[in-house]
Amino acid sequence: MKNNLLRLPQGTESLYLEETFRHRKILRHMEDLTERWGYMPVQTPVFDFYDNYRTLLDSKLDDQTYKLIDREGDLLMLRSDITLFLARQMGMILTEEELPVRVYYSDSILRYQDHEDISSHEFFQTGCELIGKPGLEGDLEILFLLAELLENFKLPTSRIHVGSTLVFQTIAGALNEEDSRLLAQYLQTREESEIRKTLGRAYKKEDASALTALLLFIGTGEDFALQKVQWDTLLDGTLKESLDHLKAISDSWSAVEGFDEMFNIDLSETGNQAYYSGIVFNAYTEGCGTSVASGGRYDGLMDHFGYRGDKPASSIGFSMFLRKLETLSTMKIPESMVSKKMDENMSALEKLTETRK
Amino acid sequence: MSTPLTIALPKGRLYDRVQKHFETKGIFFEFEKRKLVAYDKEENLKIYLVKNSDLPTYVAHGIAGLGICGEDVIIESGHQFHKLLPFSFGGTSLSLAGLKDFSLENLNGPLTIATSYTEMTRKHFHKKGIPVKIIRLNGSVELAPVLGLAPCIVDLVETGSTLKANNLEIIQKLQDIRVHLIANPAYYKIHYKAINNFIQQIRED
Repeated sequence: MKNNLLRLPQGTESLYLEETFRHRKILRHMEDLTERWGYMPVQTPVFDFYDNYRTLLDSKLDDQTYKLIDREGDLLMLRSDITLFLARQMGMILTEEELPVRVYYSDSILRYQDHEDISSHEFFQTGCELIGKPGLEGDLEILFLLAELLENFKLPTSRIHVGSTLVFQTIAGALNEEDSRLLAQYLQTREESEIRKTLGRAYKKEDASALTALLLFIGTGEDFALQKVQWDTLLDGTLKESLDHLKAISDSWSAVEGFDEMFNIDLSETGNQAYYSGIVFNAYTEGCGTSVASGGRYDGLMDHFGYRGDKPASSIGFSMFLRKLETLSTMKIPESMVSKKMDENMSALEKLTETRK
Repeated sequence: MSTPLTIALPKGRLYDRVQKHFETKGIFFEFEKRKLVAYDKEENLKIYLVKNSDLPTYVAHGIAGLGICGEDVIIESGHQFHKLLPFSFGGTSLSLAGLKDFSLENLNGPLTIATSYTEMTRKHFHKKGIPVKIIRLNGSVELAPVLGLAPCIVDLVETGSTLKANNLEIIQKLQDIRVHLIANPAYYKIHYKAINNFIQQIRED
């Protein structure tokens, strides 16, 4: 019995006392700020039928998902991706007249991710989704809200890297399935020569070199504008529209004081979920070995879950890994009232008087 | 002075080669006796000396933003890194070896292999559709066929002299193993300018 008390199931996590206080404090801060931007809270179920999501899970997420069988013999999955669960919820209830809709959530997800951190399979995510606002305006609202949040959390140097799934998909479209998979893999590992070699199997040598440089590009909006001119004509100009869109985004952030420092264009960001369909982004903070927030546009996802409006329910959103941010944030947390004011010797009546002051 | 880039280097033979290569590029450093942290002369680099197999863990957790190690260590760790620069030195190959009379053709069941490189071995043979039974060993794997634990082994082969001394020979090469400069992806995204400059400095001619 004693030994069992000491054992913890692999991957579970608890928060204690001041840690919980800090967690809640940052969460409250996030909720206050997003509500001021017009976002409303939503809650997703902790498990759902696996069949509803089967076709939307790429093999990696499918592997990481915990599955179980209910008492009727149906296969269920634990919430491994809030966006998917939320899309089903919203797809079923939203009508065209209600759009745009702004929601935020704060829930745990469960994923088996031993390659990232074997000690934790339960991740606390909080995030926002903007449904029914397509194009540049929607993209900017979500990006700026994320930047505002990161700034408010008083983190060390943070950067949001914005890329485009469409650029990647256009380039990879000329490759066969295996080479397309390899290209995505080599881009993740930034292996320049392997990327060039893979592209060289479908494109002329000089195009393969230019496309490699494009896919590996990271830089400020200004750097991007300088390079973009030579990429606009690539592949008969098929990339131009997506590149123009990124340029329009970077022009907009340049207009906000301090945001030039917060953002980069990064075409190696291609999104880690199969349902992304436009811009994708990750936020990085000094001192954290993985991204602290990620997101992107996923138009069409809600249609999969029954949405039938004429106006598209285009969506864009992000989620933040709050546990990572808590350890990095220098936000001032006031000392707990319990330890200072509510002395143990205080009677209930005295406490009541004190708290009613 | 700007903040130095953090880099983990592996103890052992590879360390000597990296140090020698860095010197040719004007980067000088040495570790004081028993110390495991050092700076280069210009203090552009903060260098950690770690065990080869632990190196990916330090980089994956962002303790060191950069590291230099072989693909074998990267693959076995299961972590994903940016592989920013391959080096010509320190390369080797992962090979299947067995006693001289061993032949893959005479198999009438799964191939039993003793190895320290379980991930790479499993991946390689499964990709080829060959069922394998893998026995994990932590070192001196060439003993396994000699003592009868497994008919063959998968191991890194540089010169082949250890194999020869134990009456073993290479049956097939599984893959070439190169040494790379790796980076924690999040660290690279924050420090890409400084890292790109560092890559230009240490790139082989």
